[in-house]
Parts: sequence; C-alpha cells; structure tokens
Amino acid sequence: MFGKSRFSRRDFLKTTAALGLGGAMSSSLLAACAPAGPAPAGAPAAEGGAAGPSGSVTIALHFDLQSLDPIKTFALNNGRWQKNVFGYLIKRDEEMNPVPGGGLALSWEQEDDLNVVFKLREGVKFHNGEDFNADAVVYSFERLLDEANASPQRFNYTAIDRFEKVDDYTVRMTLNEVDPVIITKLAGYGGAIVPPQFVEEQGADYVSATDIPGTGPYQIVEYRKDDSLTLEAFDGYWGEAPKIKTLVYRIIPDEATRLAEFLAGGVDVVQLQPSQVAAVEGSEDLEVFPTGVPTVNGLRLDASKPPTDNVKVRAAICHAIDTQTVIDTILQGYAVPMAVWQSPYSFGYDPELQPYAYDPDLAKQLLAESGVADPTLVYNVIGDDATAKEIANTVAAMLEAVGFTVTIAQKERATYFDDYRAGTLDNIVPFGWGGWTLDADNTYYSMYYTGESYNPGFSDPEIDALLDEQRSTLDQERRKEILFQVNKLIYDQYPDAMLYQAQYLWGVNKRVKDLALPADERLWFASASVS
Amino acid sequence: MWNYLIQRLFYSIFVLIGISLIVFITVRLTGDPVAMLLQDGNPSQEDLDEMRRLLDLDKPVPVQYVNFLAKAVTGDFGRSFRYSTPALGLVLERMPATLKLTLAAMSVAVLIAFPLGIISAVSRGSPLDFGVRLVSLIGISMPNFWLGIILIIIFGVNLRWLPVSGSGGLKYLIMPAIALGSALAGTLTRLLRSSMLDVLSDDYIRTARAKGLSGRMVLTRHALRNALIPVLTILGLQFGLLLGGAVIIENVFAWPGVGRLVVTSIGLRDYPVVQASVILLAVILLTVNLLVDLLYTVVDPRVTLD
Repeated sequence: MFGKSRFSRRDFLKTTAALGLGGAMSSSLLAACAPAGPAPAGAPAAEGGAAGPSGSVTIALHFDLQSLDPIKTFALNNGRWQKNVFGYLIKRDEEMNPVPGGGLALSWEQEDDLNVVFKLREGVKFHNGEDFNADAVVYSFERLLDEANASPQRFNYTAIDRFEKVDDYTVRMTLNEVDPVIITKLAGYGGAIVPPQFVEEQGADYVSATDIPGTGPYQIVEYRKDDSLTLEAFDGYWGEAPKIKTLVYRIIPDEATRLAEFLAGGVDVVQLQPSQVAAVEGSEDLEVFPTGVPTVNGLRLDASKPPTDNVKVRAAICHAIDTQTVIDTILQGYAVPMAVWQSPYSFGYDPELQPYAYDPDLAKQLLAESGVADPTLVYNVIGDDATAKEIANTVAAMLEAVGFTVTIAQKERATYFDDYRAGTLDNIVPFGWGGWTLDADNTYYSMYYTGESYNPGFSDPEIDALLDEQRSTLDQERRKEILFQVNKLIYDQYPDAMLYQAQYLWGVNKRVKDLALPADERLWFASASVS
Repeated sequence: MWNYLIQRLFYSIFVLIGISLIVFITVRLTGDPVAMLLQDGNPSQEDLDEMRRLLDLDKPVPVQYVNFLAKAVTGDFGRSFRYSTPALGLVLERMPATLKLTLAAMSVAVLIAFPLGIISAVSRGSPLDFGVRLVSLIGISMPNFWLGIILIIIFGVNLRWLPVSGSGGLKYLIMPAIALGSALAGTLTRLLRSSMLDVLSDDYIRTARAKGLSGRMVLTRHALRNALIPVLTILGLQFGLLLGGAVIIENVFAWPGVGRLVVTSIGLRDYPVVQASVILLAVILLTVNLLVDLLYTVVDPRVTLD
C-alpha cells in the first residue's frame, strides 16, 4: 500500500504511537534561566579538521525567541542559541566554577566585599566591527539595570550598584550589598555584553527583532519571527574558530512534529520526551543523550492548609510514594531520585542526604499517629501537562492505598502559576524549579523563606535566619555549612514529596559531532563539527 | 448597490466595536500578565506595580478600553508585552502566511468537492455515489490535526516526499493545506451533491433536456450555476472556521501564521497582540462575507443588493 520505500507497518505503528503520545509542554518557563554550564555529555569525537567552517546544522526550538536582545529574555529556550552569539565576562567550567580567562574577563580581583576589578580581554571585536572594551561592559550593565528597559533579567542583578571604567580594559564593579553568587551570575543571560554604538544607533525595536551583534563564535544572519533564526560562523572570533558554517534554529511548537522532523532528518538536534525515545531507538543515524539538568521536580505539600499542615500527614505522604516506580514507568527511567530541592549541580547539594524511603506501612502508621480524622487531599495539576497528569494518577493511587482520599483538580497553566504565587492552590502542588544560579540560595530562598513569592505556606524562623546568614557572607565554606544545615532542617519537616532530578533527552543526528550538551540547555556549537 | 455597500460598512463598524469590547474584556479575565512576565525574577510588589504602570494596566478597565479604542482607530494597538514591538505590526507580519494557508485549504476543498459533488449527484444511488459520500463523511469526521500528523508520518517521515514542517515554497504548503481543507472538502461535497439533486429535479432542467441540450451543457450551464448559491454561502461562513482551524494546523506544521501568534499570546497573556489579531481577523471575515454577498449577484442575476 505504501510502495517500496523504507516503510513497514511496524514502523508506522511505532511512529504513530510515539507521535500520538503526550501533548505536554513540559519545558516549563519556570525552570528558566540557568547560566553557563557544566557537564558536556558530548557526542563521539570528530576526526581531523577541515579548512574553514562548512555545513549546516538545524536545531529545534520549542517556542519563539522572546527577543534577540539578551536582556529581554528569560526562558531557557533562548540559551540554546544565545551563548553562541554573545560573550560574557565570566565563563563557567563543567564543575560550575568560573574559569579565569574563559570569558571576556581575563581575571578579576575582589578589592573588598563590595568591589571587584575585572581585567578585560584585548583585541576582541563585535560582529559589526566595534571594539570590545570597558565602555561596552559599562554600557551593557547600565542598560540591563535601567528600569526603563524593564528587563525581566534585572532582578537577578540588583546587587550591582554600577560598573565603572578604570581604563580601556579594566572595569570596577561596585555592589550595594553582598551577593555571594554575583560572579556566577555574570555568566547568566543578563550578563551578555552588547556593542554600545550599534544598540544606540539602531534602537530597541531593531535590536529586539532584527539584529544585534555579540562577540561570540556565531553572528545573526536572519530572524523570522515564529519561524527560524539563522546564525553564521563569525570569522573574527577571538577563540578557536567554529567548524560549522551555519546554524539554523527552527521554531517547532508541536512535540510530535519535532520528533517527525528529527526522524525525517529535517532537524539535527532536538529535545525529546521520554515516550518518544522508542521511536528513535534502532535508527542508524540518530542518537539520544540523556543529560541531567538542574531542574528538580517534586510535589509541594502546602503546610498552611489542613490536613497537610500536620507534619505527620506530610511525612505519611512522602513515605507512601514509590518514586522509583514513577520514574521507571512514567519517565521511562530518565530521572534520578533526590532528597531535597537541590540537584547535584547545585552549590549546597548534600550527597549524604537520602530520598525519603518508600514504606507504606510506616506511612499508614504516621497517618494514624497524626490524629487527622479526614485525610482528604486535593492534588492540583496543569491541564496541558500530560506527564504531570500521569504522575498525578499514579501517586493518587499510592496515597489512597495507605488511607488517603485524593481528588485531582486541573488548572490552566497560567492560572496555575498565578494561584501558586497567591498561595491559593491546594494540598499537593507539582512544581519544577531549576535554581538558575546553580546555587542552593536561589531555590531555598524563594521556596522556603517566609512570605517569598514561590513559597505558598511554609515558614520556619530558624531556616529564615540561616538563609539570611548565608546571604551576608562571602565565605563559601561557611555558606556550604549553613546550606547543609538548611538541607537537613527542610528534609525533617517534609515540605515536599516525590522529588527527582529531571533529565533532558537530547536527540542528535550522528552527522553532528562533539556537540556540547550542558546541563543548562545552553548548547555550545563552537567546538562541534558536521559531516 | 452603493447604498447597500455603505450600509454594510456602517454596520461593520458596530460589529467591530462589539468584538473589540468582547475580546478586551475576555482577555482580561484570563489573569494578570504582569505576574506572568515577571514570574522568573522573584519580583517585589513595587516591581509589579511599576510594570503595571508601564503597561498602562494600572487604570480601571473602562478607562483602559476607551484609551485602547482611541488609539486603535489610528492603527495603534499598543505594544506586545512579549516582543515589546507594535502589536499590529506583529499581526500584519504573519497575516500573509495565514491567508496563504487558508486560501490554499479552500482551493483544495473546492478542487476536491466540485468534481466529487457533481459526480455523486449525477450518479445518485450508485456505488460511486456511496463511495463519495463515505469519503466526504470521513473528511468531515477526521480531526484535522490528526490528519496532519498522519500525513507527516507518511509523506514526511517515511516516503520523504515533502518537508515535515516549516514554511517556504509550494511543497511546504501541500500537507497543511490538505489537512486544513479536508473537512471543508467533505462538507462542500455533501452540500453540492444535495443542492445539485434539488436543482436537477426542477422543471427548468427537464425543459432544458427536453429542448435537446447535451447532458454536459445542462449540468454546467443550468444545474451547477443554480446549485452554487448555498455552496457560496457556506464557503463564506466556513472561511471563519478555516481561520480557526488554522490555529491548530499552524502549530502542527510550525507554520508562522496569526493562529500560532494568537495561541501563544493567549498563553502568555499578551493582551495587545490578542486584541489586534482578533480584531484584524474579524475585519477579514467581514470582508469575505461582504464579497460573498456581492458574488451572489454575479452567480444569480435575480439577486439585487438594494
């Protein structure tokens, strides 16, 4: 019926099943904003080196760029191209430590708690020929911090009072309060250095929608809204010359279409869903690389609403859920159980802390001890998140097995996050958070500090005091000690259940070699090649 | 004729004001765009207030609406919260892609429906008629996104005859146009068949036959032309449905049109873009329906518009 092509009924059924499954937009905007990245799980090494960049690689994006202008973006989606176009003062290595000389700053020196002096790399040009120098750095941060520009990145950098030029290749950063993670933040989205003359001459609309030069290995050639972004190798790049000539980022919103494009060879790099891996397995041209990401997923148990205001009830919930089974069946094994809301990429992660043990008998006992007469729980879930709904059904069954009554209540995505911030969701609230600075302070402060916007109902004066204390010191050893203490305190109060570190499943066509697939989505093509 | 036109245009203004009011209010019922825009930064209340002031959302809704209307008349629909560029520009930029897709889908529907509808009517009760009716029923019943995915799997992934998604030359248009147009093709086939059957049993057809005109002449000159009127009406009305269907098809085929813009903008509560898109789509729909009314006079000389 289908001719003599590579088409069998089995293939058809397999592909159909994979394409039909799931409709979840699981790359949450909330997980956004992790800066420069660790752990490149690279593809096999390329052989030899051709003269001059050649070939073209196509990458799928899930939704349109928010803007070409780095200070107007916050979604992780943008990290897939931005790092290739822009330069940052700081570059981080695989262990997430800032590398001296890796970025546009050759070195930096902490004069005191509030002043840092950076020596800048000389001879760097922007794509439009402008020189990179102290003026460009000062300008870029003034622009980021100017409230009139309404940058969604600004909040991450408010500890910076100003940057000032010392000489052409030296700048001083002055802080208005101690920020222990500020150096690392300079590797983040808001820290991209832009050419002052170009931006001033062309204006905000132009740089947002048409072109903006950076100092990275690739320059913008064409941006078609909601369709594609085309980048080309920049021959004046200060680092090692890129090997691939053209990068095409295509915006493909539908999950099934992305898989189809990947299978058809129309797209070389794509992020897959666990349910889609089966369709790719067995292909001679395609490979899947699971990469751990900083995003940790869990169920927040609202400590301000009955019956989850009772710590024994929360403990009973935590011990009633068989996280490993959830991971193995629904996530096809692509996730790692975690004890608290910190991934191994996070500063402050304690490898000694074990995930809550699955023990239904203990759960029943804890529930009985709690003295709660009516153990009815309302479990919220986002309507268009297929994976979250599957998890909700499974977990609800596990909870009912130990004596809870569970109602699942669906919400529209945007409403869900509004209600989350307002604290008007119910007992069980699925949530994913990336901890964008890869530092425990980020998730812990916003999720557990009393009254913070991502903390619906948890409050503990001791934790508040410790979080304040670690914010006011630059002594990283001391901070680590405090964060470990916080880990333990949080763990003992059972504020969240079923935690796991997500994995991204990168589908890569084998013709692309040496692609760096860091944990923060910020694909790095400068060292990759294509055959 | 001119009186009629002026009258219709006058009514259209009220229709548009009504639509703008409805979209203005409903989009505001979806929730707060500021919390959405700043959700990642862990902003303070002052930051939220400041953003609200910048976006002109700090005033009472009636005041906002009057401000909006006053500016909209001059073509200024405000700036997109997401892209920070003029909303109307964003919509106009994508309108050609959506119109191209809808017109292509309509052409697909007409090209399929006309021959099938006529054949089916002429050979009424035959296996051929039965086959056509079955196929058109399938066309109507199939969800268009599902058909889209099936087309992608067969012609994009396995046979590799056509590009899976994206926009560009004609080959990019084929699958989305078929996926979007198939339901309309089914509807039109059935409509044309029954309309033809009605006409074919009329006296003047018998007369035409009796005076010795060829079967073909009777069909095209007399029957088809008279059977077209209900088809035209439906075509005009269905244009709106096609625009709506394009929303899903544009997502499946990564087609950079207005439909996708609207869906993403609703999700991100980008009020200005939603408002500009809906109003512009309404203008197009009104225009198409006016054109259909004008076409009646061409198809059926008995119809006058005064």
